[in-house]
Amino acid sequence: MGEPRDGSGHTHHEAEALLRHFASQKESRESMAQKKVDVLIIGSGHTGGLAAKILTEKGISCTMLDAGPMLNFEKYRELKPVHELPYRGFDAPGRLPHVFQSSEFNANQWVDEKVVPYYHPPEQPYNWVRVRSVGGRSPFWGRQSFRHSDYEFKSKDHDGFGENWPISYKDLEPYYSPVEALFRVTGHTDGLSQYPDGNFIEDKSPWSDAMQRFVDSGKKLGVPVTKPRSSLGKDGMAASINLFLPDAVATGKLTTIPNAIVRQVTMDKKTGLADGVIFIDRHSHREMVLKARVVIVAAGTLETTRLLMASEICNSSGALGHYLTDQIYGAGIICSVPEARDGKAAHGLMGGGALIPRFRNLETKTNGFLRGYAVNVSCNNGPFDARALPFYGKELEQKLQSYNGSGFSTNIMGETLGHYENHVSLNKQVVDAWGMPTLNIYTKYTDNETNMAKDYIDTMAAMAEAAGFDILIKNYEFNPPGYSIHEQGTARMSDDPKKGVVNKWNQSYDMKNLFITDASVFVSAGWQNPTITMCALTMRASEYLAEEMRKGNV
Amino acid sequence: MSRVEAMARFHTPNIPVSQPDAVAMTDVSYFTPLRYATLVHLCEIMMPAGDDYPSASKAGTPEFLDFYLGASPDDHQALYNNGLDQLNADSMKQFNIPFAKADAKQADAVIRPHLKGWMNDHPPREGQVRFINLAHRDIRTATINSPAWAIAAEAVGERTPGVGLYWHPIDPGIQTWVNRGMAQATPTTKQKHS
Repeated sequence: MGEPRDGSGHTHHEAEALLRHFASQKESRESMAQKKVDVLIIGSGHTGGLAAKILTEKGISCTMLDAGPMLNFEKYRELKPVHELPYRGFDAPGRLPHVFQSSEFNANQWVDEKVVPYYHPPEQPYNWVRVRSVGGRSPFWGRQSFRHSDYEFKSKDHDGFGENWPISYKDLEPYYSPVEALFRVTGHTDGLSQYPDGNFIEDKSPWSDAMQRFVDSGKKLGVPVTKPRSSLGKDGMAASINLFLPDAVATGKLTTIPNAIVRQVTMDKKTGLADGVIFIDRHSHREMVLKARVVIVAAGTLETTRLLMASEICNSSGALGHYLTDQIYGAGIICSVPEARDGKAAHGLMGGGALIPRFRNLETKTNGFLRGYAVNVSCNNGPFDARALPFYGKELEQKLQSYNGSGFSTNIMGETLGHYENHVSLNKQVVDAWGMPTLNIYTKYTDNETNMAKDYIDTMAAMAEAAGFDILIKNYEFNPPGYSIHEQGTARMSDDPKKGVVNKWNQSYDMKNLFITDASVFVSAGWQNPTITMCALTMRASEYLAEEMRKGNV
Repeated sequence: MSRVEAMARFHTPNIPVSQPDAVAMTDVSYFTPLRYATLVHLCEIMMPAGDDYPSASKAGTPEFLDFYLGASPDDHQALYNNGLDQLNADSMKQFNIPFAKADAKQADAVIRPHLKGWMNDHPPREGQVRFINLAHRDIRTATINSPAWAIAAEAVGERTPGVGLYWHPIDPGIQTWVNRGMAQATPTTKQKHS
């Protein structure tokens, strides 16, 4: 007969050994849970990625979480003819009703709102366009690369609306240049105060003749027409995953964890500081705790705001979630250059693009709206857009043949105003697929945007007419809020803790070891694509953070 | 070598596959017979055969749109149902002939007043003008993107039309939201036009 056994069938010695084993496992778990990472970065898009690069290169260990999977371009993408797709290019009916940018080719790259829903009142549409994968939206951005100017940073001084930023152009100027070097920005030096020049790969290409006519007609009306400014990136990509993260990986100090959905930033009740996060594994729903000395929230404006609201932190000012703003897109004109029709375009007549930087409300006031708009101009020597021609059947085919290579079009990028009433709130009744409360989004445009669009169309039409183009379409209607994918403002920066969520270093007023680097910190939208300014702010904030950590202040 | 290692080294055999349209047709099941007849005629009028390319009807566009509209949100279905009814009613009113039997001149009389150029995401908003222009866009798209059109392009030595960069589902973890997702989407916005 052997040793006596306990109720589980174990002998005394076996039970002792098991107890020792469990005790050691518990100790191990505790020591793991007690391990603190230096800097925890939530989100791996442009700003999360750049923060990781700068901090790791300064010797600071970073752990970066992303809610989505790692991308594998070889596995997930392939060239396909549209006739092989199940819906002939239309995509599954009703699949992504708020993502006008979606097509059957790219539908799988966007967040499905059945998985992470949000609400807007039916009469206040909002297009929340999201990507969840490592790199965030950075592999998919439009790459237009502009600096803000003091017309944006000191906008209240110019027209009295809203607030100034707590920084000026001079504060950010030293950071724009290295950011532009990383992105490899091409552009032309123009010397316009509202359109600060940068560290460009100089664009010395000549205008096509049709573009030159448009440039000349702009001069007569005081409208500057300049070369576009755009990031060339590397190897066909200008994303965090190829421009920033490889440098961070090379330091050996970056830990990247995909599929980690952060549901809460946790707080040390003794100090009131952030002390880590709770995240959920996307596949298994396993909940995990991660402790950190510093937290950087870089999840994108509205996801950052949702997380801070769900964590019930960083809102002593009451500004969190308010002042949501972006830019109007979608209004435009389509023209045909008569000399280019019927295959008669002379060499050099057509082609190229242009950018009209803001020109309204600079030195003079325009009636009907505050701020201003920029314009993307395209002189197209390819096929003409059939939708612009009110014909059908063989007559349409003849027109398409005739108009081929004669297209000239413009599209607006107009600043919208960040009213307090344009806000988001947390909806605890509707949760996403991982149990997180969702967002209600309440925002709408006003006469300011409508009047701005009217001025834009009328001005572009006058310029096109003066250039001798035939105007076929004048579309005054713009897309719903959110469409530009430039949402910003819901955790704005301020010199006054009562008016803003973060200070001028992107540092939370309520938790000095929590930084926000995405566009939620923007105070006013500007007409510019926000990426370059987001990254300049991130570089500045990261250098400040590293120094504060070195001094032991954070 | 273990069986698992051998399996891991196995490469997919090259077995050419065809699209179902090459051998099969879609059953028409959504539109009423009258509406479908109107749609077929509208397809033929809006996109007749070219010298080298098939007509919308030959490209299976009416059947495709019947399938597509049958699966579409209510507002898109209503746009088509009301629009096809109106087209037929206009033809009856002007010529006392169903649109499906209207000749080219008669069809033109009920279509042309509604044609309007548009751009970006902003088709005309007015009822029948909206329908005619969106249906026109859909008919052209479904035809140009059809397998029949691609075969015709190949036959005349053109490059394969409509090649784009397709994203497969990215490690979706579908089980997560199929099994656990209680969330509901907000209603389809009226401003989505496709």
